[in-house]
Amino acid sequence: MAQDKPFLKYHMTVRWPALCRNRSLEVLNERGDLVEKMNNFRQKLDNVAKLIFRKSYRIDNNYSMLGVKLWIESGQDVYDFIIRQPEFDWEIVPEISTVNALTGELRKWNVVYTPTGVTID
Amino acid sequence: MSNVAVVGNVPIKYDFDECSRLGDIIASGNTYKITEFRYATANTEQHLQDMLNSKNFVNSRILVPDSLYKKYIFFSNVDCLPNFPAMKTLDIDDDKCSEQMLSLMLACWMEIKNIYLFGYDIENLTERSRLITVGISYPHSNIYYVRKPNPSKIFLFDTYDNINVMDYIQYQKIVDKHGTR
Repeated sequence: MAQDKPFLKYHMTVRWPALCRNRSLEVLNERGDLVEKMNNFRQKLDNVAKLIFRKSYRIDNNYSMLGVKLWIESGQDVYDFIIRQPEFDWEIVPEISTVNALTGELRKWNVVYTPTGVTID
Repeated sequence: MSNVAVVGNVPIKYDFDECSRLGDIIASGNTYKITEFRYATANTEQHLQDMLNSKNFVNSRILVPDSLYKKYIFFSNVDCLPNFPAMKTLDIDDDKCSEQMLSLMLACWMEIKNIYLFGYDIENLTERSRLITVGISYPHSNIYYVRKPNPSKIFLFDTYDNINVMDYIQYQKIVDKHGTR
C-alpha cells in the first residue's frame, strides 16, 4: 500500500571514483573495466548503506555522469553519511535536495564544510 | 479536508482531541506539551528546539521559515513553510511575526473551508488587525474565533462576512454532528 511506503525526503549524489567520472555512455560501452569498477562501487555503497543507515534508503538505478544518486528517509542518516565520508573513502556532490512533505516541492541546498562540521546554505 | 483547528499562542484549557475528530490541528509554537498535532509552526530557534525534544511533536510536521530550516534540515519532521503571497503583500515577515499568524496563514494556504481559532490572541491590536486582513484576503475561507462561553458578546468581526465568533458549546455541536466518533 502506498501509505506504508517510506517517505524518502533527502536526495544526494555520491561521486564516482575519480577514473569513472564524466564518462559518456559511448565510452562506457567500450570500457568494460570502468563499468565493472562502477558496479563494484555501487555494490560497496549499497553494502555500507545497509550497515549504517537506520531508516530506509534507495539507490537510483538511472545512470548519471556525476555519481550514484541516493534517496534517504532520515535526516540523521544523511548527516552521518556526510560526516563519515573520509571513513569510507568517498565524496558527495556538496548539495542536498529535500522534498517538502507538505508542498511536494524539491529544493536544492548547498553543503558547506566548516571546521566544526557542516552547514547548509 | 474542510475543517482545521488553529491553536494560537494563548494557553487555554480545552480538550483538543475534540478538534481532531473534525479535522487536522495546527499548533503555534510550543505552548502545548500534551496533545499531538498534525502540523505545528515555529519561527524561533528556542521554540523549535523545545518542540523537537517534546514527545507530543514527534509525529508532527513542524513548519519553519527558510532561515531556520537551513539550520535544522537534518531533522526529518521539520519542513519549510510554503510561500505565502499574502504575507508579502501585507509586508509581514515570517521570521518576526507571531507563530499563530504563521498557523493561520498555513491554514489559509491549504485552502481549507472552515478554520477554527482556539487560544488565538486578539487582545494584541496588531494581531487582531492582521487576522481581519487575512480574513479579507481569503474570502473563501470561513474563520471562526472560538472562545469560552461568555454572555457578553463581542462585535469585533460583525462587519466581515467570513469571520465569526462562536463558543465551545457551539463548536462541540458541530463536532458531534460532523466529526468522527
